[in-house]
Amino acid sequence: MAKPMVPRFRKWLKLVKKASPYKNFYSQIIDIILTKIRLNISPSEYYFYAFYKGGLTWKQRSEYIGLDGSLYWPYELNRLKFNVTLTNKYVQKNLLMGFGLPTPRLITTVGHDFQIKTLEELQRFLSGCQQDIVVKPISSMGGQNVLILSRKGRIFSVGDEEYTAEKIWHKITPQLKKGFLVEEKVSNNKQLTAFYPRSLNCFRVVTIKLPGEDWRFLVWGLKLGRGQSMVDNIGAGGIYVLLDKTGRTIRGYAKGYEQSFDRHPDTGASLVGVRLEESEAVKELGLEASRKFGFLGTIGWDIGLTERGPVIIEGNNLWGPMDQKVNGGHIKEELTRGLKRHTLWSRWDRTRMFPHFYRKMKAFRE
Amino acid sequence: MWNRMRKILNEMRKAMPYRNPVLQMTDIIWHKLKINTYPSDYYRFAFYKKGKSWEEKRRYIGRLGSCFWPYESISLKDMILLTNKYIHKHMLMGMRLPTPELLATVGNHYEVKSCDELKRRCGEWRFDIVIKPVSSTGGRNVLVLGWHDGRFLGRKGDVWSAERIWEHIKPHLEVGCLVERRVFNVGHTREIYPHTLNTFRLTTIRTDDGKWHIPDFYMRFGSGEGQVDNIHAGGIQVFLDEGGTTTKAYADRCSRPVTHHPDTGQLLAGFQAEGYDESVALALRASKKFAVFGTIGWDIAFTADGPMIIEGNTLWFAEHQDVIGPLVTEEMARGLKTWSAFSRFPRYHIFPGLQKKSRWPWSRTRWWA
Repeated sequence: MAKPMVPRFRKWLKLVKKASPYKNFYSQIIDIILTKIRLNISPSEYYFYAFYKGGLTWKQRSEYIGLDGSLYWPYELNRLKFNVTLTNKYVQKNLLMGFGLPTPRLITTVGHDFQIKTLEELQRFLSGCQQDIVVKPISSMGGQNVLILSRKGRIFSVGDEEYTAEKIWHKITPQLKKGFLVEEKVSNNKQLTAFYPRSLNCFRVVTIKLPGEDWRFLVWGLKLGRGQSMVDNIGAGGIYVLLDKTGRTIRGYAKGYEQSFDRHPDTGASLVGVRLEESEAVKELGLEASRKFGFLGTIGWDIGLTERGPVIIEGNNLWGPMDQKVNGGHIKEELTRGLKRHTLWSRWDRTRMFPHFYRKMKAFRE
Repeated sequence: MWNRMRKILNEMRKAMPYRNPVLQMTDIIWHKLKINTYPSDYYRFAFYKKGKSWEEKRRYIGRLGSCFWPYESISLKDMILLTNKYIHKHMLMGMRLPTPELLATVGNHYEVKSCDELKRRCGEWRFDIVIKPVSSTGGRNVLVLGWHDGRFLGRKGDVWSAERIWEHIKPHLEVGCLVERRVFNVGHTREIYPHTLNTFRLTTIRTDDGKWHIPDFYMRFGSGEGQVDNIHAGGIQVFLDEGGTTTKAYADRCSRPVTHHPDTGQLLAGFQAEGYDESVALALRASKKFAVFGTIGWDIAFTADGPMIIEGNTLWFAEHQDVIGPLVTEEMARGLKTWSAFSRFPRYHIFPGLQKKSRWPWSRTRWWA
């Protein structure tokens, strides 16, 4: 559904006002048009990356990836026909298991076409289940509708709230057609638990493969939950901690990278200069998994680090490049050689991912 | 165009003893309007002959559309899970469904990328192997190699070195190839034709009530010089009754009835197929796991280790309905959507003519291809 006109207009005015100390309104318009023509970057991303501030050369700006399009758009390395291997978590889970990659154990599936189809079957399953579990929709993003259930004696609970089988069923009923996975709950190792204990804090490892080359590591970070949240997703209020190449934390960011943190606001754990254990193993797992998914071209892996070692939580084909706001553009010189240059008038290959394909291709949202 | 024309004239001539051409035309239009039968299926299923009721005719499944068209339950975005054998194989492994052991993947995007690497891996395999392209149909470019006296031999006893295997794989490097451990049939199935892996084709269809049905079940046996049992590669179709006993057999894509295997002379009808019940149970279990599809044509081989899934197919087609009758049973008909000549098929699901080339150059980009 189209967004209401008035709030959108108000949002734009707010952005223009925020940029006005750096450029007047007319200069902003000219700069936006030039950025679109030269770099194919959309107005919303012009404001998000604060290009109005100046200080960046055109070459530096060209290194930025915009979800709505940019001069280099690495997502087009992923062909649309392979999308389902990551967007459908049931398919992805089975592939991860088939590839022999470490991932939390799939216990059962719930939904019209899956193992558990009725409330009675769910009740029976829960009464026999003696461990903490995670119930997640087969098709969702941003950690939406994920239930993390802890077994406390005879009952399951989310935080301090009791969850009966009926309550769980009521929660998942609207999405039963698409289905849910029930997985074992895994916990962070001691170091990551100390940052924030309520969620599974994952590494985000982004990998890319240029045509004719092997997979390479692009960028990474650490996602932390925050403010009672049970998930670490940034969209759910989480903190994104930038990491340097050696796996040392640089700083934490939240709320569209407008807020920055030296310490975790809930636990007080330092987010600057901490050397993360086993980070190299996490990176290696990201590369190993990418090689198995060799039919794709770029993947953003969410990898949890447990006492048993790193485990893959999920892979994403349309990973968010928002950390560029503080990290700088991701498309460095060596990547530009293998990626297609897109101008405003370039024709996108419709067999591959293209900007707004989720919006345009209703079929994929069915 | 000329060949098509000749084919159509041939079909019309075949139908002449039953109806004159004008009546055939009228009848074709009437069939299309009433039960959505495509003209080629009208001739394929011999609807010009009298004796079949409309109720019976509407239960035939046509490739290019019919009253019941189960393929429409398959979403195009999911097709890759069956059409790409690399993905399909790993899905089967992830779901813990029995399938032949995967030894290696070869290709530009896979683990073995060079001839030297293949040579090293070949040195580790001291048993028969099967090499198949990640994307192919009808058993094309499948290579079956036996391990004898420290080397790989082809069907005719010719030696296959790692270099020769590499030359065979080279044209498919971009798509990739799978190398699997070869599995063998047991018992009488193996005696009938031991040179290929002879499989059950078990087609499952899910109706609206969520129930899975197996309307089509038969066995396939290789013949001649073939390395595979596919019908299009000269395989023989042997039909079964509900209990798994073979009833009748046909060669040449169901056009020639046979009683004995042309190469081994073994009787094809009247024996109980080994592992039929186990294979049916496996087909149903696998279909439930691949629930995103409403219909799958499973190729299942019965081996010494039990039934094994060789592959699943989205666009299975039952040309043999002209000899066994309509696939859709009355019970199934109640749970399947009906299509008329004017129905619009959703374009994000499989639709009739999906694999036909478009005449319009601007619409030739097919993202699923």
